[in-house]
Amino acid sequence: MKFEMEYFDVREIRFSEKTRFSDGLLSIDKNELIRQLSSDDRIAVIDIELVRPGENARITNVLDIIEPRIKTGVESYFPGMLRWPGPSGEGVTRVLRGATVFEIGAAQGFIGGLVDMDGNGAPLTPYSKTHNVCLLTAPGAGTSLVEYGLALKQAGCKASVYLAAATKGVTPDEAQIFDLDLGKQETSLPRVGYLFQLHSHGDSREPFVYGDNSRHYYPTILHPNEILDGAIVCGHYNLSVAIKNYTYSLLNHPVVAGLYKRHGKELCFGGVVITPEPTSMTDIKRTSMMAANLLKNVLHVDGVILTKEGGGHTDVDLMQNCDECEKLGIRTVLVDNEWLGPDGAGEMPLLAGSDNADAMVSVGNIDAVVDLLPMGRIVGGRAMHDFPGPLDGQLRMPLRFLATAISQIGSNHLTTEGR
Amino acid sequence: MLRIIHYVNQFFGQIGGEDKAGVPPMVIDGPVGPGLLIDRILKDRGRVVATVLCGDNYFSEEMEAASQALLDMIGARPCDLFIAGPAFNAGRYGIACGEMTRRVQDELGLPAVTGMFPENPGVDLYRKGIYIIETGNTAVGMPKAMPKMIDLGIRLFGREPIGGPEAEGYLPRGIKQNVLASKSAAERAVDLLLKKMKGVPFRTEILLPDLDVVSPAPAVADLKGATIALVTEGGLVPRENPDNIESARASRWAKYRVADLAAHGAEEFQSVHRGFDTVFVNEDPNRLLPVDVMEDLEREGVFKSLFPDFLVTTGVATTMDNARRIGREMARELALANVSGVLLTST
Repeated sequence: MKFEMEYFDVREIRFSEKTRFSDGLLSIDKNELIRQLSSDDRIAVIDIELVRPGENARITNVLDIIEPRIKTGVESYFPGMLRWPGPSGEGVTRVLRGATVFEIGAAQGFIGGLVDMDGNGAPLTPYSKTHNVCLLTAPGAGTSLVEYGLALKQAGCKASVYLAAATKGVTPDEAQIFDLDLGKQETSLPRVGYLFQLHSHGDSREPFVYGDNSRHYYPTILHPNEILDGAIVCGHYNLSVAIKNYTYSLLNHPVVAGLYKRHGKELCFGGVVITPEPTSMTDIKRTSMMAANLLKNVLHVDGVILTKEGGGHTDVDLMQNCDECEKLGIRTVLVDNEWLGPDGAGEMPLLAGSDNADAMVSVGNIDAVVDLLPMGRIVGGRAMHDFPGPLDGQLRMPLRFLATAISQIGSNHLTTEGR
Repeated sequence: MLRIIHYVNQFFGQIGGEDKAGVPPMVIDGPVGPGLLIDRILKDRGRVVATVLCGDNYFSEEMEAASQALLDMIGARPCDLFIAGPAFNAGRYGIACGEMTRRVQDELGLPAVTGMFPENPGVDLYRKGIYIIETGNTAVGMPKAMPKMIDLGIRLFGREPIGGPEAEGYLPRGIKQNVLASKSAAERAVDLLLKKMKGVPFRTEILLPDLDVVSPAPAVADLKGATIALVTEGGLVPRENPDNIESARASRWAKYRVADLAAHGAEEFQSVHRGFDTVFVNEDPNRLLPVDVMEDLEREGVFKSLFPDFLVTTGVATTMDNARRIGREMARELALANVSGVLLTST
């Protein structure tokens, strides 16, 4: 499977009469973009605001972050969400690199997070360095939470495609080819796979794979290209912000991209299995057995990286998957966050453990307290779930309220160190 | 010029050996014993302004009174940094150094540091809250230990960032601090996996705690004579949440009347739990806590009586300390009321 990614580097964004991209400047016709998103009466797009890298600004009620992309030829993206039929991972994809679309909204039952572009919070998120196009939304009258979430996902995806369309006819700054044959490869390099757990605990609490909820899947092999090219998008609106994977990080999946980068040099990339995180022990045992079998006997890997999505329950999946893989002789590394209390001195509350989990990577203590400086500009509202506000002043809050500070798939550099 | 107050026992304070272990707290102007070494190391950067001293036996027998008396002596003098010991492998001295370092730091707000051999019993008692420089097991290690203690103390005084235990030479305090690594977690995961696959030494970033495995209690022998209580971690509370039960990471629990829940249901009760979709429970709380069925079974005589209160907390990433405490408190309450069995519902 082979596709080409064309990168268009965004160095500046501004509102303008006409949406276009030229010389690193993304000009956006705000009224036209709002019009494009207003055909869905489940959602009201109230306004769009632009936030720039390093600006003295705080973005609140952040629900998802998407990279603007479009597939050349079909001139759409996100198979199963915006277009049908799929598949992703072939052809040419154009990317507005350095720009994002923020889905923003507040409703009782939605859990949004906060992104600081400046101060102590800025180094904790990759999105303090990007040009962020913020969609400020509210639910349409009489719309259920689930429907509002689905409409917001549509709006975010549409806005992403709308912006990326402006690259048509422009010469890219860089192009990269993703070409990987998962068939039998003659190599002495260690063959490494990736087992990607997807949260699957109900509506508004799970991602979409080709447009369908993750809970409808059994362990499934995806070609790495499919993940890097939009097959999975974030669908969580009612899940704590630190324990979900944002669409932007899925599109630039750090484990998949990292294994790709080292393929043929230090290792042989053997493929990816995605697997749900069921809610019953029986189902967890069944899926972990099936996932390990796919890795061992279909993809023939000797080592695997496991990541989870979600809270404490999903450690059960992580440990079961670890055990089933090790049982078949596949060496495992697990990526997990820690819950150690505000001072980092607490004992980790763990629902499951395994003697096989002897090689783990920490993405940080989710409870650690951060002090955030006051910000001159607030985008997204002055109050947030669990935070009555005002949010523009100096804030002291646990890391778990900062959207994207914890990345369970390992996008970030945060970790813990003994003290 | 850094002003240091130094704590020693009777032996290092040159009062005497085991026969003088009963001497009460006292203060001496200037340095004594290892305090002279502190002055030599610091040269014109600082000096020991006073030495506080107590016999090891006196301290261990009268810990509260002795440490308070010493604390008063220290608090009465100008001081920038407190140094205790080092105690090496001397057990009573180690505990005294640990206790004084902790109290001076926490109650006087002064930077404080001590030193011990890793197997000193004072280490396990005090490592969590204070900096203990790792030393050898006898006073032969003094010339190596003291400069490290002073260096760390000076940097604590200057409120400089303190690095990890290995770099700084202190015993791990059981604290894990968030830091930014040079590589992303995904890159580190690949590095770690390649090491593990090659069979070369590797180091995990998370050491899993031992799991408490709770074996199920034996069945209630005489169900017909039993009082059964309802307990849940599902966060079911009156609508105004009068006891402020947290929606996650709970530290509290509460009890409410089963009769109120039976009479008013979703009109007056809701789940504040943040770990699951509460829509269905908030439509009908019996889905979380089966009061309806339990009342039927009580009427049918399957068991004798339903305990009039139900106990509730929220079970979402609760710290182990709080979870254990909440469990103990609930169990005590129910045992005192002669409850014979509990239906514990989990989400």
